[in-house]
Amino acid sequence: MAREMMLSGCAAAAQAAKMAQVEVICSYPIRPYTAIMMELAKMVANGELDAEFVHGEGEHAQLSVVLGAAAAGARALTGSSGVGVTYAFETYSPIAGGRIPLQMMIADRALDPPGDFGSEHTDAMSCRDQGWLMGWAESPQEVFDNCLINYRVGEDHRVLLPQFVCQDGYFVSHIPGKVVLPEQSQVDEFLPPYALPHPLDPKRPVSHGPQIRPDQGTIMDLQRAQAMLDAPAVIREAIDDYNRIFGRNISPFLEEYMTEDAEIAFFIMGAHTMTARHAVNHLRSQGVKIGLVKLRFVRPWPTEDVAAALSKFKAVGVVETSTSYGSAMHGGNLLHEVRASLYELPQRPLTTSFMAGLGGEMVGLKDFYYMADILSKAVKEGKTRKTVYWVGFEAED
Amino acid sequence: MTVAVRTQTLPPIKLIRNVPKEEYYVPGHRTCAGCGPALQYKLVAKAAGPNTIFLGPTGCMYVANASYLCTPYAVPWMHTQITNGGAVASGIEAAYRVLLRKGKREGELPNIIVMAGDGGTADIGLQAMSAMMYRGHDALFICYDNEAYANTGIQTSPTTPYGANTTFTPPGSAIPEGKTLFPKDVPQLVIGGHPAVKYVATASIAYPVDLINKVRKALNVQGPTFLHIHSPCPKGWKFDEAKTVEIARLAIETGMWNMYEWENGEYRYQFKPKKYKPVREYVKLQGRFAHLSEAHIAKLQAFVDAKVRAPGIPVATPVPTPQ
Amino acid sequence: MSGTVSLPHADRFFEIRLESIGGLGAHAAGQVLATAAVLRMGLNGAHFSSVGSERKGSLVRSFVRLGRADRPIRTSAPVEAPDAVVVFHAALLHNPATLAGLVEDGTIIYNAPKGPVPEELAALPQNARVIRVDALGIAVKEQSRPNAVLLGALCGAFPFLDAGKVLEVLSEESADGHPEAAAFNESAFRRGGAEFETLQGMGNAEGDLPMACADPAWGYATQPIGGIILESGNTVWNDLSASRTGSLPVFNRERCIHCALCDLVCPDYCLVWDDGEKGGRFERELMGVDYRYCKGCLRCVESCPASAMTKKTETPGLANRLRVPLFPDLIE
Repeated sequence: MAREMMLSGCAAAAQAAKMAQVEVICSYPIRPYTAIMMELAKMVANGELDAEFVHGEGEHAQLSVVLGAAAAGARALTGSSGVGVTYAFETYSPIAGGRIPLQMMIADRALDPPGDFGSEHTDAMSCRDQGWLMGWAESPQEVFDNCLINYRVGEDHRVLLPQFVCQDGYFVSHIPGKVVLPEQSQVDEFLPPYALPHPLDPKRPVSHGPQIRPDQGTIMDLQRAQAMLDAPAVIREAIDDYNRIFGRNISPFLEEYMTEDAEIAFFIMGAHTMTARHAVNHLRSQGVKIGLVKLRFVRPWPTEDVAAALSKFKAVGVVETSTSYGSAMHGGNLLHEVRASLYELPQRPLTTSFMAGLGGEMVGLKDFYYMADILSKAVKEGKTRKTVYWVGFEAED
Repeated sequence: MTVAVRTQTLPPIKLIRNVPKEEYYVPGHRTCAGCGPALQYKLVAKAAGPNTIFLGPTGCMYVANASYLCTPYAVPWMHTQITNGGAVASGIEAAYRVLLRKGKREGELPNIIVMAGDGGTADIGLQAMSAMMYRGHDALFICYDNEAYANTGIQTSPTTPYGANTTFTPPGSAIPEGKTLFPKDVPQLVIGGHPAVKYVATASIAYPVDLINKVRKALNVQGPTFLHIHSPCPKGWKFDEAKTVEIARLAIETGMWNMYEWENGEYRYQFKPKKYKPVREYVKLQGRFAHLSEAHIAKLQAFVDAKVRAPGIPVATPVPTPQ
Repeated sequence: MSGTVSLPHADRFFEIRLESIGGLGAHAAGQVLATAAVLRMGLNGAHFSSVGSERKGSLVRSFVRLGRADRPIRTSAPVEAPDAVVVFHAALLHNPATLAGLVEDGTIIYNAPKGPVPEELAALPQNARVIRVDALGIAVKEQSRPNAVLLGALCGAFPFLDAGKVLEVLSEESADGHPEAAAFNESAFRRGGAEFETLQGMGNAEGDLPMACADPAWGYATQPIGGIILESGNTVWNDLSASRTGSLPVFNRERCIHCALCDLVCPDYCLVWDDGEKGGRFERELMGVDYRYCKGCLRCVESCPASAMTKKTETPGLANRLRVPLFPDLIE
């Protein structure tokens, strides 16, 4: 019997991991993701979850431990936040290149300096080139969903890639929301047991990760690129199954909200989507033709879906909570990918970036009204005045 | 939660003719002629047998062995970063515990052996090695000590002896002795602070049967164990590759390398000289020490004298230290 | 610029490829040549070697490109159509890639003493010039290294290269190490220039030799995912015999007491054992050495208590005659 609980994002993550029957977990404390590990520790200690709970000596070690575990044939889970994510950076390419489909839960946190517990997406976004699947949850329910979906897609033999399952620190990780927990039998139907093609097993000896020549290296890179190209089809299949088994209506890559006759739209991912929805409701009631497009997966980036969805609008505001200093977009990185997706279209909407929520600041309704106002003006004037707006820090327009 | 208990015990070897015939480290690897670490790898693989998984942190025993999509291992092997041999081994051990418990694998916990160089043990790999010892994983961590970062062209590591010439410690007019620092004592680091560790030993390619037996003893112990194996490097230490075993023996005879086992708090010694030869005899055969003056050699001798007097390793007749 | 030399072909680069194994000084030789060309001979020059883990016995390819001073050298691609190939170790001739791409009137210089010529030379172009010099022999006598001898032979073979200038640079580089070394290297260099032989009528082929086109064994659809090797122990297919540097161990079965001390000191598993005669003294008996894997470290010779393993100079074909295969069913 499915049951409803009020769970924070961290608690939802732990519930999902338990239902996915993860077998090896490696912990290391750092706010705000630590709550996931504390929940799992309790489950292991009182026998609810049969898993090995290993106390890593640091984040780099966490990733290394689960790499060994997953290579040996166990479903493995770890996680981190902020500088913990970047400390482990050395391991991300070996894991993805070695095609070991383990999962890392990231509860975002702004990177030092200095210590700041607030949420920014920069920690995970810094790792987006390493060959991992990566996506954000808007709510604790989505955290739960994404854990299972990512295991299913990552472990599929057509993909075989590790996964970053991300949630905004505090806004999702610590604020409870309603989560529907399904039956274990439903989860078992959706997620088959972990089966790595060539695990480390003395009965069938293989060697993982030999030294190679440069010409052999290009091949490995191409294979990883091919896996990313093949992943969207697997994601669509998986989400079809998810919807069917759990009675849901998730769209794989983009969720559109009130976009039917919209002229302007927000393009957004993560926690602040919830506030953006409220802003859209209010603006609509005032007659503004505005909608919202929410992104679920940053990797693989759904280029065609983004082009198709955004081409309907006259202006799109890309709301971003991550930094890429010195980049072409004077601050963010989502706008790069959006503009690249739109480049080939004969008719492109105006696009601009809104840097919002950095440092973990609240993004309030009035911030979204401000953004909408800028987009409306851009449509009237036929151009954007700026490529990037740092919301709350711009001089009055 | 019960843990899979290992019933495997590898028997000790008393005679050379009982050394196992099977090889799990096959030829064709591209190590240098006369490579000390390759020899110890062969002996360790022989000792461990087929129910083994090796971890290869980056180093000579990774790059030279597994070059260009080839592998000399007839048992499962995985590359790790030089930073995390101990951590990856821990993950594999944890996986096997849960997989055996759940019936997804059959048989017993395999031998899990990390083959790390001195850098991957005591320098960049120290954190992961120590954590593996602390957490009590049933696995063996071997440091093959060739006293340098050899694979990258011979650079100093924390086990490089005082006075050695490496490409990061070249002797010159401003720094005549080359390396000015004294090495870490790695087995003592392990013994000193890890309550879960039951067995630590040093070994040398000079005494292959002793090496095999120590590997087997370590693998038979349930819990984390550590072996420090002296593996002279002809290219790095600059000596004739035919003399590798002689150099390894001299290291023991001069006290530069000490052979012992530590088990549950007790020390046992092997090949302890009744009278130590002066370090000069060891030093003069190696090009990496060719630049040392009398004063430097005296400093090295003093270090060795103090080391062999350290708690647990009594000296019968110490070599007098020159004033 | 004093002493500007003219290249044989004014319209293109003069390209040299040095084929060697680690430890014989091919990289240093290329460095000396290029430095002399650029700083002393008024030419433009580039030198680079194949990069990898620095180990004795591993393959080393060193490339030198020489051009007119007014022609910038913009390529750092390997030399694929060399005017000259210098082979530092005769065993490398077994590998067709060593001579690949040699132009039809090119020159090869190889290191060997007088004696029968390797049959691989028949594959050379008819118009190719073959030069042989006993670089190892001369180097040992002069307390130098083969690279000094081969540099001398190269300058002797190509008079356009100013031998005096090359020697200057060689001496400067040698003096950095040990001052006496410069004198030894000079003797070796001069002997190399004086004592090489030009062999006639070696090759049968027409035109340039085809370039080495390494067709990779795998493409991205077939290489195992994630760089995993499914064939454990596949290094047995490697042939390491080219990494020996002049000596090998020879096994005398009559003297052997089958104590296995040699096996316990051989890092490379070259020794082939079999079960002893039924009812005989020994459970296991040593049959011989599989020279495919022997790198010539000679530890077996050092450790043998019965002098059953002795050190001998390696002559062409000796290893093949004495070889006992370790995997007779797999590798012939």
